[in-house]
Amino acid sequence: MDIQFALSLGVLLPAGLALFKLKNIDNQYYWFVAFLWTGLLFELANRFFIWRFGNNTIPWNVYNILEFLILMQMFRIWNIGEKFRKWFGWFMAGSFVLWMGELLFIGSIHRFNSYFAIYYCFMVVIAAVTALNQLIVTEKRNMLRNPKFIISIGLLIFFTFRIFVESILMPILRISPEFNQRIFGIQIYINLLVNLIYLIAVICIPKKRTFTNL
Amino acid sequence: MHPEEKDIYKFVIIVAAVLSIIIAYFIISIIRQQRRTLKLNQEKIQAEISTMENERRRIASDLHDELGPLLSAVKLQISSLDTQDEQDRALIAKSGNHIDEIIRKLRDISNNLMPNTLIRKGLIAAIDEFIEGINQLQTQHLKISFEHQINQAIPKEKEIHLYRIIQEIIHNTLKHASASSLQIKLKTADNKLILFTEDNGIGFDYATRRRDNSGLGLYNLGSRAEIMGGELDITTEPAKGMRCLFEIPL
Repeated sequence: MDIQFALSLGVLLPAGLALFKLKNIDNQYYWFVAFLWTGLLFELANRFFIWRFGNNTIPWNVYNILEFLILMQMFRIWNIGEKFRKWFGWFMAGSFVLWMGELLFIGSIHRFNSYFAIYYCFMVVIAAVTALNQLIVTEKRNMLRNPKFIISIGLLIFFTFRIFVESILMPILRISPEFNQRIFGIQIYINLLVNLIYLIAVICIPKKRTFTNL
Repeated sequence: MHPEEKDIYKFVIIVAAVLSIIIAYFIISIIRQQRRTLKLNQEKIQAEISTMENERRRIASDLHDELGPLLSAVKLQISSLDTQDEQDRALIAKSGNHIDEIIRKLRDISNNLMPNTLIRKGLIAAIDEFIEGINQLQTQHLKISFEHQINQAIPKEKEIHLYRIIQEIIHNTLKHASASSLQIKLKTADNKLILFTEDNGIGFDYATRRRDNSGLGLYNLGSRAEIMGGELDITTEPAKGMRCLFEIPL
């Protein structure tokens, strides 16, 4: 097992712990658990496709839209904004059309479709910043122990860097495979850091409230 | 890697480092800002509630200690009037009854503003008395049950907040919940005071109410929990009643 693959499996820690705690956690965090498990399955699918077909463009393109849907649904459940809630259906439909449009008319399922990737990373960053802004006003406790805060910070870090990386790796910029590999290396370490942040978030997810008799 | 790409790679690393610094600064500033806002907010609420409670105490004491005896003296003076006229006697008796009624009302108002029982006998007795008063007055058929298991002393300044919270919950349930039962449970455990209330009323959409800022009562409950350094969890849905859980450190 190479070091890059081992590091990318760092998501196993928060995903495993989240599954262990699943019965006891608030349903506001179910989509976050889904996000972690989709990430883990994507890493495994990646590995399988690279081994079997020599590239991972299919799981990569499918994962992009799937991850976007899961994260946006999570932010919708968190109720980050009235307008977001109101226009959610249209927003998701529009994003799906964008994904499909790039897939059919600009790129293909056998290419890394960067435009949608940059778009959805940007949207996740905006949603994370909106969630953080809301938490500043509404949260009355220590923010460093608030799972929503920690998750939003993790998403903000990961997707900001991902926008940066995706912009450099765009197919129109003809770069050597070695350069590509080096740039991608940055993202692996960011991924590891963010997985540790997610692990802290999972630890901080409070138990469901139980109402006991006297 | 081409030599040009090596230079670009260096540039990318520098940009990534700058980006990391910007994100770190953003996170730190958010945390600092939230702490500052929280502190200011707590101080503001504390000042507002303290002013309100002091004002209530002053008005209650003025009504009870100054107006009460004055009215009693007026009644005594009226009663001492000696007249043979039947109409005048009836008028004196009627005025005496009115003064009695005013004294009783004043006592009620004064008691509502700052319950004597709370000051003299403590929280449990005050809540019992309040519930008894409500049960006698109410025309709706709300059954209020109150259970308690207090093993630790509750600080006086927290007693008044808890009393106000229970008062607010009972009033809200009577006014808005259309409930037939309200359970109030109060206990101390692990250096914490836990107050749990549950009604079987019509409930409401909590997110909408908070978003619309339409629940002043809910805001008051949250504010009082906040200034005691505690936490409040409200669970409610339309047609599913309302549950409140307060956890207050002792």
